[in-house]
Amino acid sequence: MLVNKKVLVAEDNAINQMVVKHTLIKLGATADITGDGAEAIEKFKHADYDLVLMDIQMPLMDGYETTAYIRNQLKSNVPIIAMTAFALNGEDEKCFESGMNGYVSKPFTVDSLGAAIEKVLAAAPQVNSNPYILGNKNLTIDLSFLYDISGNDECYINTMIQTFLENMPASIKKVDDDLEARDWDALYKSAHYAKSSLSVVKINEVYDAIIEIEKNALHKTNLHLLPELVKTVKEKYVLAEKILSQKFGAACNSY
Amino acid sequence: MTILVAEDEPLMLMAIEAKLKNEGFQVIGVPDGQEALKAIETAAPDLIITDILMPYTSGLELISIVKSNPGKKIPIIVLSGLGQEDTVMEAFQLGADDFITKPFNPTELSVRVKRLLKIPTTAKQKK
Repeated sequence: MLVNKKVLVAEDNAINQMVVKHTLIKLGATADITGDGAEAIEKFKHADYDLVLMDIQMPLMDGYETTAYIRNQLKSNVPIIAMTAFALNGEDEKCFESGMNGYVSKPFTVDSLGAAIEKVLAAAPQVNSNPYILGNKNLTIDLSFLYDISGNDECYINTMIQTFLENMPASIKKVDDDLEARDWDALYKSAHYAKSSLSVVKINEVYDAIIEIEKNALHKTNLHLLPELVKTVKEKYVLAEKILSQKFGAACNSY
Repeated sequence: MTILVAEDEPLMLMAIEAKLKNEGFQVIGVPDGQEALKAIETAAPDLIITDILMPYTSGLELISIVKSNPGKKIPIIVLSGLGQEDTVMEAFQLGADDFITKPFNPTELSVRVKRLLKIPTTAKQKK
């Protein structure tokens, strides 16, 4: 399935470069080999690629930074597969969080690389085809409301998201504290407040959970479900925070 | 024309302000009922949009105070959310002119505001 596909490779080790190139040729692809993240980005800007194979550990600009640049600055949804030696714990999670679609562990064979590529290319179309929706299969951040009310003003959107990221942790903590104290009236109010924020920057999974928390706290029903719902809110928010602060991290000029 | 918006959640307030400013209105945003009352005195808004659940003076109290003042006839739109159907009814009884649910549809907000201010809208969307 890689026949005639154009693949960009970022790999700093000369021997590994040869292995990757050889493997890709065997799979029928054409390969452009680069030695670091910056070079890969330059090449990427000037040609269309069907796939990127990204080494993680590279000098100057590593695989995560290069991926982030491709996703956020170049706004590309090109499939990116990490080539990782899995030296560190949590590296697989970090791959997905930084915007990669999959990984293959080194050393790989023609078969293992082929399988990783097949898996990534066969995956359902990324939600990123809608520019207002960020996230992955576990998390959906819907910014369409924000774009609508701001009239597509990127700078203002940036400001609003910064405000959101500043305020949400305290709002979520209040929800958590009110649950701990089993103060249902207070929990209704704190969930209601958090819901307001989440209806502007809509993290679907968190929003849905908060609605349930608000409803059950108000009517004092299904109280046994609340701890799990609050846990979902906390965990999913952490993931969303990473994605949002990566994409909207830079300060904005006009505000 | 000036619209006063009373909403305690900063992001929602920013969102409403952004939409109204894009529609060409002057907007004064306040985080609670007390600030709203002050702003009514100093800025004489043409319309008030208020949340119900707010610290200090609640939305309902605000409506009651504004509508019982014989001098000012300021139209009021109430922002309501889930579980607030009863309070919306109360708001109407106190004299509120309209309500809109959160999260609001931006077009709907614009249409309702213009309707109360008797500003002609281009009727391209009916909802």
